[in-house]
Amino acid sequence: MKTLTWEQAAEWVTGTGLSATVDRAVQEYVADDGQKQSYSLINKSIHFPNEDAALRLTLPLPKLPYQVSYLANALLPYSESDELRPCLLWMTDWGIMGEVSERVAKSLTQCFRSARGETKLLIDTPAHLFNKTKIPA
Amino acid sequence: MIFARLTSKTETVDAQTLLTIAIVFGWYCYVIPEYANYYALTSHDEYLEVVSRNSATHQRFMSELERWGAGKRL
Repeated sequence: MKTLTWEQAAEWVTGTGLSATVDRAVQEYVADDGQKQSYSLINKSIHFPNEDAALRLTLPLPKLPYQVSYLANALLPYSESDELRPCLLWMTDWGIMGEVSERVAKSLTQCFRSARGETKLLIDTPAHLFNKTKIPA
Repeated sequence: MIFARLTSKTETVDAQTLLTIAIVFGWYCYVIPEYANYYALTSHDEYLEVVSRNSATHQRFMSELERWGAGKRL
C-alpha cells in the first residue's frame, strides 16, 4: 500500500481516464482555548467525462454487519480466481457521523495506516493505492 | 514467485479491510481501479454507488450485485 496526497490522487485518477480535480485551502482560526487551529476546505470532483446517469447503480447497505466485508469485496477489482488489480481507495469526506462513531473510525484507520508504516495524517494523504508496485517474482 | 503471491494476497486483504471500515462508518470513499471501466463510492447516505463507463460493464454489475439489491436510485 502506498498513500497519496489529494493532488497526487487526482493526478493518478486522471491517468485512469476519469476526470478528477481537487481544490484545497487551509484556513486557521483561534479556538475557545486560545490555541491556533486549522481546517481544510476541499472541493473535489471525480467523474467520467460525459458520464451517463443511466449507468449509475445504487446499493443499500447490508442488513447484517458481517456482510459488509462481502459487499466491499464485490466493489474491488478482484475475484477469487484472479489477484487484486491496482486500485485506489480515496477517502474524501468523514467526520459526518456522531462523535463516538468518528472517534472509533479514526482510531481504526490510524491503526491500519500506522501498522503499514504510514505516519502522516489522513487529511494529508487520504488516498491509498493498492497492488501498484511491481514486485520482482 | 511465492513472495509475490503472498504480498498480493496481503494487499487484497488490506484493501478489503480499509473499504469495510469506510462502509461501516459511513465515510465517503471512492474505489477507483486502474484498469477497469467503473468506479464506486461509499457514503453516509446508507447506500453505495457504482458508476460504469459503458453499458457492458453496467450490465455485468447489475448481474453481479443483484443479490445486494442493486438498482437505479429513485
